[in-house]
Amino acid sequence: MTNRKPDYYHCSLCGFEFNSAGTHCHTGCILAKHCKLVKCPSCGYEFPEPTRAPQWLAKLTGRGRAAAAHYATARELMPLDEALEGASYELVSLNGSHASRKSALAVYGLVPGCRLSLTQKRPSFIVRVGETELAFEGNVARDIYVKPVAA
Amino acid sequence: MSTDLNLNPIRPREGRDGHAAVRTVLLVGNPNVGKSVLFSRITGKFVVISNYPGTTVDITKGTASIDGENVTILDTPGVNELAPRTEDARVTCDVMRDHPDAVVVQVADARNLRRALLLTLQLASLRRPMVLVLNMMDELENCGAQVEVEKLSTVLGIPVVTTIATQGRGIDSITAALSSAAVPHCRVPVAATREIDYELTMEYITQASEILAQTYRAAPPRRPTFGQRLGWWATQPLGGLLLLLGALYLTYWFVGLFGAGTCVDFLENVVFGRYLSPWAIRFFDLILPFPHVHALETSQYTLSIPIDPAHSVTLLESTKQTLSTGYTLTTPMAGALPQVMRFIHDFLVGEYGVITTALSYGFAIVFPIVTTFFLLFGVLEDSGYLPRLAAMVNRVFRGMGLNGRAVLPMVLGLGCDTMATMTTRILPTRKERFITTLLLALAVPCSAQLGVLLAMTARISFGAAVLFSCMLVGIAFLVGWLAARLHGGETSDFILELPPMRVPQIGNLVLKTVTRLEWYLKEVIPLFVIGTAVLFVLDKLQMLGKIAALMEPLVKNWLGLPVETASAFLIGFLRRDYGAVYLLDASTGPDAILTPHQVLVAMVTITLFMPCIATLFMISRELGRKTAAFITVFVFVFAFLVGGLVNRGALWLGM
Repeated sequence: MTNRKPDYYHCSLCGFEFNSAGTHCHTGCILAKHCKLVKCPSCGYEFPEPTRAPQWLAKLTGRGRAAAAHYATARELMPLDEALEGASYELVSLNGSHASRKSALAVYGLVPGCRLSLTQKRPSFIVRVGETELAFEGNVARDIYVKPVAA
Repeated sequence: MSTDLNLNPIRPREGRDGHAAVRTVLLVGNPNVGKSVLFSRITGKFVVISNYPGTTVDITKGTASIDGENVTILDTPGVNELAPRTEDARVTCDVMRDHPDAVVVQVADARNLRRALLLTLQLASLRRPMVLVLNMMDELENCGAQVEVEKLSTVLGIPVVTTIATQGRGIDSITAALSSAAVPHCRVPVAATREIDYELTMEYITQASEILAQTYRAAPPRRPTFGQRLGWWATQPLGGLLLLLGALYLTYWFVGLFGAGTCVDFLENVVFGRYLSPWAIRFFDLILPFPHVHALETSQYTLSIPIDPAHSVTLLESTKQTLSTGYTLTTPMAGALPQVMRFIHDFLVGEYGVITTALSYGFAIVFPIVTTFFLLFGVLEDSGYLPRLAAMVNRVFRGMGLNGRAVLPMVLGLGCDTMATMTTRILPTRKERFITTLLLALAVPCSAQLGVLLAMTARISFGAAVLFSCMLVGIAFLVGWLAARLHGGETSDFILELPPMRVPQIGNLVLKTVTRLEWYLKEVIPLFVIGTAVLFVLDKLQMLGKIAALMEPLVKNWLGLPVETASAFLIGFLRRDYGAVYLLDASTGPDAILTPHQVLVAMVTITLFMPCIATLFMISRELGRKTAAFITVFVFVFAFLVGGLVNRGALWLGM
């Protein structure tokens, strides 16, 4: 497990945490898949792909599998449209490209740090935040990054 | 996007000590927290209330006497924040600006304090005297959460009162607290610019969370109530579809069978046919004497309760001889006076008479259908089902360049297209408003039209009726899809709050239906009278024949309909359902002049017409004259085009 890519990145500019899937540029560039740069979906900053040093370091220092499991589950970030129905999540970040959408969600209490439960994903996404039940569509859900929390 | 707030902080006046005279009170709050109910309780004036976020688009004004002084109370649309991003928020901000001296009474859902506090803090930044009302305390207690009211009052520095508006509890404490309304003294995040953007909103939310942590204890997890379960089913793919089908059948039964069948039968045949029309005929015969005798006709009536389209339970049958509008002259008339009297007589109670045709149509046919529809719509609206329906159909509406939000105007359009056109204001972008308005004008039949159409489908085969409905839905999608591609601009995100499912309150339901009916009748009855008068005058001047000749190429050659139907299309320009009534007359009864094939063509053409002249005025008010003119031309050309194509197509298919 030497060269496997980490599951999530942490943007060193804006601090945004994001999933590794779909962050590489694919077309037009002569470097193509040999390019080692990833682009933060929040601020657009490009930085070299981090390796998984922390994990094997953790193994070396003896914290072992428990730390790895924690790393993979408790810390994993995903957009809401990849989340599971019926589970509870903590909202980590709203993607930065739509300021008006961010504000529209924020007034309902959907802000980083809030707890939400995903009731259903189809035909529309329905989440529960506190006493508010909110319905929105897939492209809104894609910009909401969450991490699982115990129910 | 950041939006200009347009709100200068207003300093309290010199000498205001919190006991100054209160003259104007603004009710502000999140959507669906009971502002309108509180307004009714305080002022004794009724406003239309519903369980759909964003129903109050206009401001309601009322007065109440508090401590012997008249106080003006303004009800504003519900807002989640003070940034004027939506029409509702814009209206609310305008009202706030126009009444700088007013006391702000913020109404909050006690269970949802976090969202209320965001608004409280934004209001606090305006430095206005405020009162915070925690409404729906009963629901807070039921769910087991707690709010420390005194602590909240201390932290915010304003009076906080608790109410249960629907039961009328705590209303006195609001009026009592008005005199001690104070400018909040809590620390408020200050905007760097005069704009509310995301970062500032975040700061407000952070502070709201701090206050919340001190004063609010969340409810322990509990078993979902039946209402919540129903709400979940309503948005699940399968359960939602079943509920939708159930709701559709209920609508069909209540409006289509009961309203358009049983009630219309009773009003048309018994109330008007046996009593009001003959009374009117006798009365005008008495005061406008000229030598004539009215023919008698036999009126048959069966009172039955429908079960499904084919079966019904008959309760009562009766037959009676009544006077009909047709008459024969007994002696040749001499002199001008009898001629004048005959003219007035015909105008009021003749074949195209205002009383015998316009009023009996308006009250006997339209009234029961519209009443039943609005009653049912009120139930759907108050139960909180419509936002869930919006979540269900969002994907479908996406294809038409709309999102689920457009479901409210579309469903309301099945009641009255003019009212629905006005409701398109809740849609955020012009593109969505345009497409919804166009579809309403073109392909959404209003309840009066539906009633007449339902009667006409009796004349065509089941297959043709299905073809007709599919065609209408298909046209709506096709036109919507094309309009979405041709009209520039973005469709807004679909983000909609789902209010809790509630059992509708009977009183509110009745009031709402009555308000809508009043609106509808005021709009509709004059149009019937004008339409009938136009037909009457044209008939007397023998112009009907000439116009029919003028429209002959269009009606006879292109649509393949008899020339006599030209007058129906003529009146259809004024109101399409009224035009449809003439087509119905032409297609039913012993002397029907339309074949089933022609009935189908006539139905398609008249259904695609502009709903009525009032809708046109409303479109012009909402979207401007140019757009209204474009929509009108498009709708009429399209209606005749499709009508002709159906004529050719059906001939070709051999139907």
